[in-house]
Amino acid sequence: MFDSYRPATLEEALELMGKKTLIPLAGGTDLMIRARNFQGASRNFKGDVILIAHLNALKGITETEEAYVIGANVTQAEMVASPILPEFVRHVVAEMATPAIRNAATLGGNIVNAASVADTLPILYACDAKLILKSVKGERIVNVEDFVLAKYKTDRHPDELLISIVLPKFQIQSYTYQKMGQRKASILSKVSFLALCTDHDVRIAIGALNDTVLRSKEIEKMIAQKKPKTEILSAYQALYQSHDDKRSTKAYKERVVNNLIGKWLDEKHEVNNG
Amino acid sequence: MMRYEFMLNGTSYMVEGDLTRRLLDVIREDHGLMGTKESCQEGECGACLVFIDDEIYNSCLVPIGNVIDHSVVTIEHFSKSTDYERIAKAYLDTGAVQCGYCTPGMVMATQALLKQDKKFTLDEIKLELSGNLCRCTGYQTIFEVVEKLLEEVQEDV
Repeated sequence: MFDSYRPATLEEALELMGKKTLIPLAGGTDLMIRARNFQGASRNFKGDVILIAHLNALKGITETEEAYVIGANVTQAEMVASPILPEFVRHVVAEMATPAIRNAATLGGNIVNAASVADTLPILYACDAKLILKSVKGERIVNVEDFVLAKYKTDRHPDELLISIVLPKFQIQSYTYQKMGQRKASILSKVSFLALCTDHDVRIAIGALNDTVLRSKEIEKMIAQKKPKTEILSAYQALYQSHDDKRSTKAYKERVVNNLIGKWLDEKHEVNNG
Repeated sequence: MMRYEFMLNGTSYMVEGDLTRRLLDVIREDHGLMGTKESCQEGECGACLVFIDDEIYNSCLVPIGNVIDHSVVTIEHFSKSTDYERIAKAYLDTGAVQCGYCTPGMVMATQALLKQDKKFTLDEIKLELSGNLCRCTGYQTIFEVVEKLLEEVQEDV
């Protein structure tokens, strides 16, 4: 059997986490399923649990001159409804899950859970997001690509909580988002493709293909330099580390990603010529 | 020891012990309210939808600790409202209920859609109900219900 805690404040939560290893539980949309058990039985958590969804210090979306700051407890529904966040962010999140799940699921949960199919992660990679983590020892700021180490594995120390997510602001000229799944809604991605054209660069983040989001600044430079499509596609191909899983096969996912990149390059080229 | 409480159908109850118990189990086992159904156990089917502070949630995924100081309403309590009566009549008139297992959740999702008080295309209705699975009706009659209710609302205005 395990214990469950519900500290009143962030300070109390961090103090508790400094003393013993606890599993942070926010909206529950992933962890409650992973801890599944028979009807009526207690959940099957592998350690003591700390509830954090009620912590106000982790709520709210704010902005500064340079960035949007999203609390780890902000739900997907709150992100979609936000008058502050840019359209491409709201678009990606609106295509996740279902209305009822989006009411509960938090951005922080999607990140720390670090599933390879987490659809918010491509946004963060494309934005060069930074994560603010806190423990009783202090605060640290980590780049998202340094935080997500592997599928379901992050650099969060056992005594830390993810507090907020910082999305640097930039001028978006256009964006493309394609999510491939078995149905249009309420589905995990087979692959996803997010391309942002800013006033000074292009950014491409590919989700659900490799164990972590695929983003290559080198290839983005090649795209900006208008290298041939075949060269760009083979550069991406060299970075694919996909495998067959219950949703799809390696061959299918890689072919779809190649098609999505190819189509986007063709369209972008037309725009450039037009 | 902290004293925790939550509201269920307008009455305040204590929350004791394991805070990770599913809201669904508390509703069905502690309170004997059987209108909230259990089916997929993973937030896919919507049979267990309840309102928490008037928004829909899958009660199979909500740890009871997350509703402390919040208000939960199940289909039993919602069925006393005039909003429910309108929705129920439309489901019956349209023949959108067959085995009925998904219906409480479907009704909750319908209410969540209607209270947004705006127009929906058929595709948007499908997205709003995407978290509710029905294995009998083929959905068409359910979409008709929602379209009918939306038209009624517009006529009222």
